[in-house]
Amino acid sequence: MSWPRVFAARVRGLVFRDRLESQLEDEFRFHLEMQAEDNLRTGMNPSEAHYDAVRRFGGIESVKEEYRESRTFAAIETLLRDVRYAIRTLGQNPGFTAVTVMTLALGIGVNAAFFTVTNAVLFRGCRLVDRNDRILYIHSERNGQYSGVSYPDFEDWRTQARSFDGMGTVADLRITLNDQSGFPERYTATRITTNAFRLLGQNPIIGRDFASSDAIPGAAPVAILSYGFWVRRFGKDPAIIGQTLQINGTPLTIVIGVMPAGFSFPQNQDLWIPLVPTADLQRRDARTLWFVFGRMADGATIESARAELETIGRRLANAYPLSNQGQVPRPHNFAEFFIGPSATMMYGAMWGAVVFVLLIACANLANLLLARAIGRFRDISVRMALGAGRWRIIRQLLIESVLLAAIGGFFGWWIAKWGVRAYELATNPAVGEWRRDLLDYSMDYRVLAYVMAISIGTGLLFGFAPALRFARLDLNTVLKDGGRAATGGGRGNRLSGLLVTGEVTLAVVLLTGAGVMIRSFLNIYTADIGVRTADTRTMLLHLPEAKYPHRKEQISFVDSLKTRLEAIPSVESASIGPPPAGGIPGRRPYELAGSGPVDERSRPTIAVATIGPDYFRTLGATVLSGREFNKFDGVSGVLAAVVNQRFATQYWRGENAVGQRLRLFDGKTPEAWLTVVGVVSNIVYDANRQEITPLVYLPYYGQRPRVGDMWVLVRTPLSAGELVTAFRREISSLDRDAVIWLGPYNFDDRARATGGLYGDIRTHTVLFLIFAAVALMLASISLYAVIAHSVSKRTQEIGVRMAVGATARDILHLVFKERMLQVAIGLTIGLLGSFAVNRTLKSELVQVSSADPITLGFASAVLIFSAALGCWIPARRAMRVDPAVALRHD
Amino acid sequence: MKNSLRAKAAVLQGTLVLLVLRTLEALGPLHGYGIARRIEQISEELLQLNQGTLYPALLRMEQEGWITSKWGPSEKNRKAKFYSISGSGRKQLARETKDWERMRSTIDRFLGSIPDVLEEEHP
Repeated sequence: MSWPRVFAARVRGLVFRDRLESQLEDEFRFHLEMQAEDNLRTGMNPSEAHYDAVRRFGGIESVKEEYRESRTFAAIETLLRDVRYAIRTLGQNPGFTAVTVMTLALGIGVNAAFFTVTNAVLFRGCRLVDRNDRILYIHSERNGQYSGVSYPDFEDWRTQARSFDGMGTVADLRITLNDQSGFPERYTATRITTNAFRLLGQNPIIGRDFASSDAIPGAAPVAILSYGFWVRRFGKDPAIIGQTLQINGTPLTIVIGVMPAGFSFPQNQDLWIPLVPTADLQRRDARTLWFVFGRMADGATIESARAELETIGRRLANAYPLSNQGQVPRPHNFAEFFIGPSATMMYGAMWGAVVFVLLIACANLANLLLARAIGRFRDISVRMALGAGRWRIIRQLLIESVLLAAIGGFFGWWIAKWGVRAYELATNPAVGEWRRDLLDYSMDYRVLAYVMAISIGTGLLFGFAPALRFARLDLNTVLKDGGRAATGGGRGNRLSGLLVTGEVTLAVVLLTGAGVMIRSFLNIYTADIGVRTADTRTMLLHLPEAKYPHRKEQISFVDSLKTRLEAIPSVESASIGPPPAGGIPGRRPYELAGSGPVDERSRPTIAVATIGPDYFRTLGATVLSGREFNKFDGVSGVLAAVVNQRFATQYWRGENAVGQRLRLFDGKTPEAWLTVVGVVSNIVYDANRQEITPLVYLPYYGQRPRVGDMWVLVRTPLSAGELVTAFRREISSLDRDAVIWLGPYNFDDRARATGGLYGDIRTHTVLFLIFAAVALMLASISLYAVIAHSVSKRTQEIGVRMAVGATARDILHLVFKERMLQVAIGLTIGLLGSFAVNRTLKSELVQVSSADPITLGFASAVLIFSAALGCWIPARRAMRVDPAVALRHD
Repeated sequence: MKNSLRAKAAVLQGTLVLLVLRTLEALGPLHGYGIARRIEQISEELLQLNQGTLYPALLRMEQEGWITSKWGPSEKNRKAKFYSISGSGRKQLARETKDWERMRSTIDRFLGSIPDVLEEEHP
């Protein structure tokens, strides 16, 4: 039972090491002097007496070493000593240290930043949700298309699925509420089931959670506030509980709780209200719920949940064929649901890309370290000759590289912090938009662990190659030849050549990957979407549902809106309808007049857009034949439709489309026949793919009322900023409760703004561009450093060659032949690799082949150029050296 | 020859604790040189140890808490480190003495009896 005491004593030994060391000296000196004095007394002469004392004592240094080992923990002591030695060595060569640390900081920083982003998307999920990885998000799907969930379906899933501990649902992405008590203000809220917060593992910080009694029809309306809203609107007043809000003219809503700071499920909410299953909601064909979420039971996996939900879905389809035919419940994890079905693949691919960057940095540093190690052969050989073990030397070198990596990791962390911040600012959608503040980019323990792991890992990785060289060092040759023998050897050159080749390979793969992404983005960005967007302004308007129950009220609102907006000076025209590149409008079954009978189940569908009068004029599209809608279409006269050019050429090639008839179906019920009154130029609605689909346009005035969000389009040379006041004034004078959700904004600005139409692709492209730039930079630095080093080692040789008459051409030829061969091999392997890697990007690419020759050629050219520069500059420097000096060069 | 030396040193290592503790118990606080001299004298120079090896042993004993050390003036008024036995050191000494006695009597019995037995079994 003595080890605690020994342990304590050794800790003291570690702490007071310096004092104890000098005491050890004193004690031994005292011993030797006493012995020598005793010896003198026996008649020895002084030198004899001293020598005898030392002999009797035994090897003083080895005793000291043994003493030190017992005094404290031997491993820690030597480690500390090695670290101190490493710091000293690095300090002696500040240039090398700075380059290395910078390279590492960059490599690790990019890695950490990207890991943070990946972490936010793939692991963290919604803010402040307990065990995010166990929450699944479920919606219904029909023919592979998203469709909402009906409340009865949700109830059936909830009661039947065994894979879940509980399920809740979110009814709306957001609903707009107008406070009419104090000053008018707009809130965003969402309706959720009363069990939602319990399922997510969060409780209100003050007040109470929803109870199931809050969701009974006729119960007093209640709301729970978000922390941010509580602070912003009520100044953190704790007396808020029990107070009432008057919202949208509904009865008084009682505040019952406030959620913790940061909680914003599913995204960016001001308040939550309970979802009350009203009669409307209870219809199985009313797919009004946004999504259902559930916490998986212990032992359940996403696969088992998927299988079970599919079974339940089939059962429901059999029981309710009218509403549920073809509907399949689909569970997703956070990333798949909120970011996209390919999120895991996409972020995985980019994570791979940053790891490539880090590998390049590693190869780079291994090269630098190798070059430096060769310079240290002599020094290290001397140490080994004096008795230092090989393992000790290797360990010393590894400690040096890990120390470098640790310093690099430290700076890398800060680079990552800034990088993530910039990334968040650049990619967060605009205020009020879908997915704003959805992701939580905090650098949590996972990021810290990752940074620490890759720092130590890279340190070991790039330190290992040079360290291994010493394990095979032949002392005698090195000492005899003054270090030159070791450098002339083939092994060092071969290793550094291998690293150069590897680096070029990695850089090519990254550069070509980035290249095709950038080309693809440029294609999207510059593509003609069929409208003149420069003078187009857009705005998203929300109409309160209760005030516009009938078509008549709606038509009169839109009509006066158009009149009022067009009355603003220099506004040419105004209309409503889907904005271009804003997503393809929904599809409906249809039938052309004169076509044969078809099977009900396989009736073809067509995308249908509902637009106001002057829609095409406002957007600047061309009416190719016939006319566009006027204010009477849908109200009186024939039932009119307009089709796009694609539709006309697809179905009535060579015929006049105007005057043709078609009809749409509501489920299986055919609607009245429509007559085509016009054909318009193609407008691209798909934001990413640039796909032109056949389209049918219907007059807004003829449709059933569809309240909620409404896109307003205006054609004017005035910028959005100049229009804000006028727009607000006109709209609020029309209806105080109408809410401008977004805008007005310039269509082109928005296209340029991140998080907008091209958000995802743009983000991916920018990221790839950054990786490629970093990779290219690292590869160029490294090529230059290695070649420069090897050339400067050959200064003497070059001097001799010049002295015996070699021309500059000969020397350049010599240097280029060796290094460019390595670069060429790297290029070849890299190009082959890029075919494989780029294939995985295929689904993201628009009008670019994944083996785009322009991109591949450009990437190769850039690398060859930087390699050539790396050869040329040092070679020229070597040639300018006076041969006499070169010959004496050691 | 090297091997026999090493074997001797190993035996010494085991008994060194006993020798040091006994010396300190008998003579009171003593510095390292004094302990080394005393062991050499008692053993009549038969136990020829490298005096230096005493010090790591002293350190380990101090870490175990069997002895304590203190800096003080020596006989010639020089600064020296004096070691003295502690309470737990005395207990350890008693334990080691007992072990040693038992070991000695066992060895004695072997040396005295085994030859006879061997003769009986191999007539």
